[in-house]
Amino acid sequence: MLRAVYAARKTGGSKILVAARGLHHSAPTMAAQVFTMPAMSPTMSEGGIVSWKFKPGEAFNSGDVLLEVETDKATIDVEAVDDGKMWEIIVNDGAKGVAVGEPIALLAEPEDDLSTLERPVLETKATKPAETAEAPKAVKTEEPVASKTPAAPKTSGSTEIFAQANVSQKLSPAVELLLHENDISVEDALGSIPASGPKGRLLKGDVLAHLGSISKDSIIKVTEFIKSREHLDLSNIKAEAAAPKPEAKAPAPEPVKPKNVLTVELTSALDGDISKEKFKYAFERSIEVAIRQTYGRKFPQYATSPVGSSLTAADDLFDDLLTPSVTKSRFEVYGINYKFFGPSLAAPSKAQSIASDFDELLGLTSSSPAYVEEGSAKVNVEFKIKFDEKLSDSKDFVSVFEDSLLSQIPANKLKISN
Amino acid sequence: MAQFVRYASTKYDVVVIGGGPGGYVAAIKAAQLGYNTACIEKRGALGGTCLNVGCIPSKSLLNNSHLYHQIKHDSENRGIAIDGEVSVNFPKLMEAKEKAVKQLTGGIEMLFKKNKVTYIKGSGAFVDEKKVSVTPIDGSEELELEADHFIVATGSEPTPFPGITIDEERIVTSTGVLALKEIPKRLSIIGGGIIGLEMASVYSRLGSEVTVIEFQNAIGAGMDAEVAKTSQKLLAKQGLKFKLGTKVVSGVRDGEVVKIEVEDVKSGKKEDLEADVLLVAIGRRPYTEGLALEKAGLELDNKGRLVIDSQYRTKHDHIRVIGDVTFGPMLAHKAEEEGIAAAEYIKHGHGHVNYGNIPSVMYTHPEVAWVGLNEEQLKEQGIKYKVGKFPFIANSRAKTNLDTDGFVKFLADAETQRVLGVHIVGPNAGEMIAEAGLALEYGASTEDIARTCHAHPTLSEAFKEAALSTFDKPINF
Repeated sequence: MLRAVYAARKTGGSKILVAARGLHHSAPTMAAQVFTMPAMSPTMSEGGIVSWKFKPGEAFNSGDVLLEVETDKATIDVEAVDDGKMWEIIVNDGAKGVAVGEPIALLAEPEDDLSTLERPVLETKATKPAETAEAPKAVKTEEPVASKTPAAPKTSGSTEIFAQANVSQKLSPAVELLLHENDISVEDALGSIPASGPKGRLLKGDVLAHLGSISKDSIIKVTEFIKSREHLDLSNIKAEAAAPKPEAKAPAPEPVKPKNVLTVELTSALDGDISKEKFKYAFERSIEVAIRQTYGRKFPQYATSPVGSSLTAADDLFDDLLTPSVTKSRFEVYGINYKFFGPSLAAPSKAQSIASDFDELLGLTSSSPAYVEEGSAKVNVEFKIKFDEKLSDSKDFVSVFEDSLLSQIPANKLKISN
Repeated sequence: MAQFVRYASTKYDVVVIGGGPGGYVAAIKAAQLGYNTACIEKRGALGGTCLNVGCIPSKSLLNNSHLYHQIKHDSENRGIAIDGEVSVNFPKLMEAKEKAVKQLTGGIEMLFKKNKVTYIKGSGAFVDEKKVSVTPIDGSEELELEADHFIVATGSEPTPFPGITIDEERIVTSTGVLALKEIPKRLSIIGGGIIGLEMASVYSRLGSEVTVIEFQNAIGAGMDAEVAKTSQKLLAKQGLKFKLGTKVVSGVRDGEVVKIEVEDVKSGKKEDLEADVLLVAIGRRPYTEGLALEKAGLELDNKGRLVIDSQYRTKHDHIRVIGDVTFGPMLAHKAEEEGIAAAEYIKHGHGHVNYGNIPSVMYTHPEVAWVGLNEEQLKEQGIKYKVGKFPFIANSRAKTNLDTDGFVKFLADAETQRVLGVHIVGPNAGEMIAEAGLALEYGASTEDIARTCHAHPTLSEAFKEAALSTFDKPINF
């Protein structure tokens, strides 16, 4: 349990909440956060609510258990990502078959005044399991339309393409003429037509879509395409042919396509009192935490979903890593291989509990650079990350995962090759 | 004393390795952002391939050979009578080229002084990820530089052709072809890309018999197919011979000639060619020689490019890589943009290069220029588009110049009318493409361009009319 709380904190929950609110650009006043049914695993499509732990009006802290969710496999505590207040419970205790992504409560920031808070428009459309990747985004970015500005158009699912038009722009000749022809004032246009151009520029296509002469999808399609071309294509880097392939060393459990398998290698110094077993245990924990943090950063639901209770035994945990249930949809970590070398290692001290050792290890990583002193025992760890190259964001996941792992372990770099 | 002053400090905020268009721009920008910056260059002159043996010298030869050709063949019908012989003074032509190069490279040295960038003439090699050692080109003692940030901008070199030995005299790369001692009677060129076609134009105008051998079935790698076809037709009219879909089997120097064996890719039919000079212009490859990458633990991909992330960082956050030595098109202006962005990333944590808006120009006559996407790319992506074209023959300025070959071609999204790509073959295409870049950057629709006043009579009116014909009818055609 302690670990799960830690994970939730490390995810940068406040960032997620802030980010979510930041997207509500068309609502000038503060609106509540829609809390949706979290996905406890990529395969979960619906769940039940066992009980809420907070009543409307009550404040909670980051890490507090907000509710218990029941899946077909287990009952799981869902923790708060950040401090906040319960405003309204939409789906009450005992409800069954609540689809993932369906709003179940409204949350507020700790400093929000519940009496003046805007009530967001709820999107009740449930998402299918196959869409879990999109679900959090679609729900989170749904614009809570303030009652005072009912004209604000809906831009569901395409918030990244459209932005609030930049009010200080000089309209292009085609846009100006088109507005004039249709008796739309410049103020109205800038206030109500979402802009797809760079930095909030209102384009002719935006006005055409507003007038209904073309569909919004055509703007989304072409803009997405243009945006995809704006960056250097680094998606398919192949390692130098001359370099020896490190994969050959570790047997891969399934046919390996070098394209989507990364081999990660790192060397870490060991303090005298860290045993091999403790390091292994701590390292695998770190991977677990990193995976969760990665998903948490990407999908806020995951941040609030602790993984089942089998985490106490190191072996089970290792097995969990090998089974794809947690991470299958984006990436998978497997084939962890340790090589210990250097001065003989101290025998594992059985007096201390493993969990506190791990905390100690974490503490050491953040505060004590003496940890990588020369002459101390070292460990070389190699493992593989397999990612699904068909999913455009999987590379991104892997890189967040790497950063997260690096922040937890006493090594200053990861050597990554494929 | 000078030595002392120059090398007094060996700890810098930023050290740039390579003084080409990417490196020198990055160094100046870093210095302008307040960093104590040094730039290491081993050529002995700044500006890299582009200024010394690339874009700049070739443009000098292209322009002057074009003038010569025009005076010789295109004067009479313009009412210019030439009494006597018009001839080329080849050494003088080369001198004019060298003068331009010298002035420009010297200019960068001035800019370094002005911006207080320390210019270190030598070759840099990583000692570890925080240090580089420099072997000065003047033979003086080796020195070691430490820096908080490195920007690697070591550029590229011509890709050799397997089995063909370059001697830079008879069998040459782009470097050698810019410094020939005499005009070859017969010039064969392997590669119908931009470098090959520009050099083909230069020597064809000066009187060489030029043959371009290209493996693909089209010239101008990466050009819009229609534009490639048109420019090939126009170049053939000027006397260039093309052997497309043709593979080079061997190329050997035999005394003062080069014997080349080629084979038709489809039929397998072999043919022997002979030339006085053979230019190998099949592309360029990243250059990292002597950099001791392994000491810093930097990685290359299978094409020899340094591996980076979207902020140009290698696995070490403080070592960034820009330009030809890493990913993306090998173009001086792309490297420059990255140089600025890399310095800004160091300072502010963000920078901007729009890789969807990097123009390409071929300085033949007529010029060819394009930016954005071509028809083949749009078809591949399933984007519905509209084409708008306007020929220079209907443009008043082109007409008065007696220079009417080519057209402007717009590709715009069928629904939103947003400009997706512009392809120009015609006089001054390289200058005109800048307007297209601006349009792309601002997300303009073709109507926006058509409703922008263009001066009359100018070639740019063809640009406006092409935009107009994408969504409506042109006025003057």
